[in-house]
Amino acid sequence: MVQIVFYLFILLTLGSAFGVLLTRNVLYAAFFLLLTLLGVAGLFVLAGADFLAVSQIMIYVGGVLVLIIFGVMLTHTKDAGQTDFTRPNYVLTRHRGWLWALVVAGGIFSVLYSALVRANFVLFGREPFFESTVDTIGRQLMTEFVVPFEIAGVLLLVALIGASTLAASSRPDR
Amino acid sequence: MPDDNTVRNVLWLILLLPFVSGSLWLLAGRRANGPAGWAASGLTLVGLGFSVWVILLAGPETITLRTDWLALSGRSVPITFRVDTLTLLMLPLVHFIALLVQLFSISYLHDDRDRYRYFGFLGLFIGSMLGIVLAGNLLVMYVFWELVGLSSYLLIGFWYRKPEAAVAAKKAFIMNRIGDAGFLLGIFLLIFQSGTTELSELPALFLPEGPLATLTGFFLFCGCIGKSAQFPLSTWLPDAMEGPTPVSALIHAATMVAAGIFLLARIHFLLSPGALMIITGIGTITMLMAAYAALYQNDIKKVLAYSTVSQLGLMVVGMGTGNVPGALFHLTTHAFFKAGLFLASGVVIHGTNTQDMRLMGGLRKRMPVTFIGYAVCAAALAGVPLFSGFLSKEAVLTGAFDWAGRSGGPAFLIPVLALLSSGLTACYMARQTRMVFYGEYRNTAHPADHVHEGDFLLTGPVIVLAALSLGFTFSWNPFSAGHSWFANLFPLSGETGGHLWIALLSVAVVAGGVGLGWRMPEPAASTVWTRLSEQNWHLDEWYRRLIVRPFVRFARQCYRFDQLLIDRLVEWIGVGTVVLAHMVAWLDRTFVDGLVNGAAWLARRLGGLTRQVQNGRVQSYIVSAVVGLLLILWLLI
Amino acid sequence: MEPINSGIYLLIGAALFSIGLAVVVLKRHAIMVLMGIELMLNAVNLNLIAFSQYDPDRLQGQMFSLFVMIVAAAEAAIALAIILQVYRHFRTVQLDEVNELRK
Repeated sequence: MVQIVFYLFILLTLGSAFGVLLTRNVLYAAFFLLLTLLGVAGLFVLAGADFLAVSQIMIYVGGVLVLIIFGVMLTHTKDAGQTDFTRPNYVLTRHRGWLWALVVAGGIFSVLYSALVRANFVLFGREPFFESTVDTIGRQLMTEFVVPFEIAGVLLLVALIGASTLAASSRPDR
Repeated sequence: MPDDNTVRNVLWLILLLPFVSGSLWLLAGRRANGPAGWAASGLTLVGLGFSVWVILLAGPETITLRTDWLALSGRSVPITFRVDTLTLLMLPLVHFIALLVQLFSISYLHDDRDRYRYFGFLGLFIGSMLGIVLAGNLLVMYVFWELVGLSSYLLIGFWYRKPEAAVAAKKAFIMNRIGDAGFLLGIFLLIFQSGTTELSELPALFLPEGPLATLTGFFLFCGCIGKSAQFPLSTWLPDAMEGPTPVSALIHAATMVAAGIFLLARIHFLLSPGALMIITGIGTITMLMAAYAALYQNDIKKVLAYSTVSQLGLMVVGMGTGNVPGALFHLTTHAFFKAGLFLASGVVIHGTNTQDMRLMGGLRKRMPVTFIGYAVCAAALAGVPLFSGFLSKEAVLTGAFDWAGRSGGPAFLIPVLALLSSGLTACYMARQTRMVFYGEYRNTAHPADHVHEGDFLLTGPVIVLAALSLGFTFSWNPFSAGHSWFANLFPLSGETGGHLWIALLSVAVVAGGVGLGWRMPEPAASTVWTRLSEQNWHLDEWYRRLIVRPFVRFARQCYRFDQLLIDRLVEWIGVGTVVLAHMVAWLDRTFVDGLVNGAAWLARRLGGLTRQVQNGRVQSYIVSAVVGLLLILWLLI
Repeated sequence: MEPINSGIYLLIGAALFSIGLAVVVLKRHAIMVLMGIELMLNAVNLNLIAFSQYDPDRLQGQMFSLFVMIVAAAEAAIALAIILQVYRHFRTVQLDEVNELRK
């Protein structure tokens, strides 16, 4: 049962990732990305990281993806090649040559694959541990990782201010 | 005893004054036109005063002033000036005649625009002439000798816009150069034999014997041939009459042509018997040819020019026959009366605007003062008793007869021919006087009313010179040169006064000549003989045929040779160079340029390659980064 | 709960990373490139979490991926702001046309 769900999530993740790769419509790609992120969140759950799965959905789906879709909307230009005005969300991207993408991606995948297949991870021989990670994460954040946590907060603040400053129109007439 | 330093300073002043005055006018340009004449005359008067002072300072002994000029290893070339009796004779002579000529020129050239140039050149000439007179060695003399030639050239060509004047100037210059080249050779021979040209040292060092000495003497005489217009080079003097008339009087009658005679007097002790023989021969030939050539000339100045050549020939004969004092005496008297004749003819030309005697006549009444001056001088030239020419000619003739008596035989030909030329002189002078001053005025283009007597500046010098041509000036006994003051300075040779028959003979010859000349038919029928005279024995024609034309032909051959061979060679070299240059250029373009261009092309290609990498696309940077990573991994694993 | 072979996680991560890389390289739209980067970050997170399940006490992998997410969120915000500004400047977000760096 779990195995089936696991493979389904794998299928969802990789399939929608391929969708992101193959589609030319940016909006569709964003939706495929949503599916991918959901699949990854599922995989997180199956790997015993329930808190992270939730955070994944909240951060990515609720935050990043919305941002991305807003970005698509804001930067959309009705260029001359786009004649069909009946589909306003038809935001196309153009692909460059497949060759380099194939070479690079295939190369890195084959390298990683061969490395992973040949590798013998000692860790994987142990018994995995399944319990809620929320307690541990909370404790860890307050103890061992308190400094990175604070820094992350500062980083987010800086990013917030920086993003708003950058995105703000430097010229009021626009 | 004169103070050496005083004499030295005065001599320097005498020598420098004319040069200073001449260069002053030349530098001042047209502005000097007005004052130049009077100022130059004044300076010449000062010079005359100085020379008289020198005469008073210097005694009979010779003064030699010497400064080292060049000091080569073991041999020095000094500048030497020498003051002896000869110098003391010539110094005032040159100054005096120059002064008169300058005064004359003020009026004669009063409307010429280039008077500053005239007086500048005249100053140069006078200075050079004084240099010759004062020179104490032959090298210094040669320097001034050349300067005299130069200033003569400049003055003959004074009216250089007239083509004849320019040609005449060139001719005079070239002829003089030929003579000067001989003179220089003679100086070299002299140095070769005795190692010095010092006139004070030569008598001890040079032995006038043998063929080499004869050669030396002949070469030195060449200078005289050129300057004094002796036989082979005599043609320049008549042509030189293209210059202004006062110039003719000063240079081509009284002083410059006398330089040759002066030279002979200076070097007389160097001349071997052979050289004297040559000199006598050339003098005789010149004397006779020129006297004959003067017979049928129609140009008033040409007659005087040929007469000058003839008289110079007579002086050379005097020198050749060893009669130095006689020749010098004739030189002195000749300087006065010939200058007077030239100046008088200048007045005539000035008054009638022509030089052609056929267009004159009857001027005796129109210009009486000039006529008197002219007649006196002409009588002196002809050798009429009571005039100076008679004395000096008699001195020369006496010397010649004495010499012939010593040599014997055919040598008597020389004095006889001299007598003949004296008769010819009387003849052409009589003809000229008749044509100019007697008969009817013949020029229709220039009415007789316009003929006028010259002003005081013109006639004054003529009268002074005429007065000096009278026999009393030189000797209280007008029939004997032996009693003249000149004979005290230079003891005349021979038993003076012991040859009364010579005097009588010459008077007879002169009378005959005058009579013949007075009766000469005018205009003369054109015969071979008259043409021979008019054309000066066709000397110019012969020169043209024998020297000029072959030279021109030779030059043309050289030109053709140049054109055919050298030009072609040069052209071929040029073509070869161009071909080589093309080949080199091709090599350059192909290899050198190719190398450079290839390097540039390679760099551009490489740049293009790297530019493709650096194309500003973020993604291609990622691609290359990943490819690099893959390569590293591939290497590691 | 049945144990799942953790090696598969690594393989999935590798595949996801490769796909993300392919997206980054292939697409010309700036936002698509951003999406590719998100995919790659997720692949990394997968790996971290796959190892993290054997470390229940400290959960260092999970903590690390948590921070990765935070940073990714911040990065996305900043990146989108930059893209917006680029769009304003060039009137396009097609990366090929944004090649100021070339000149």
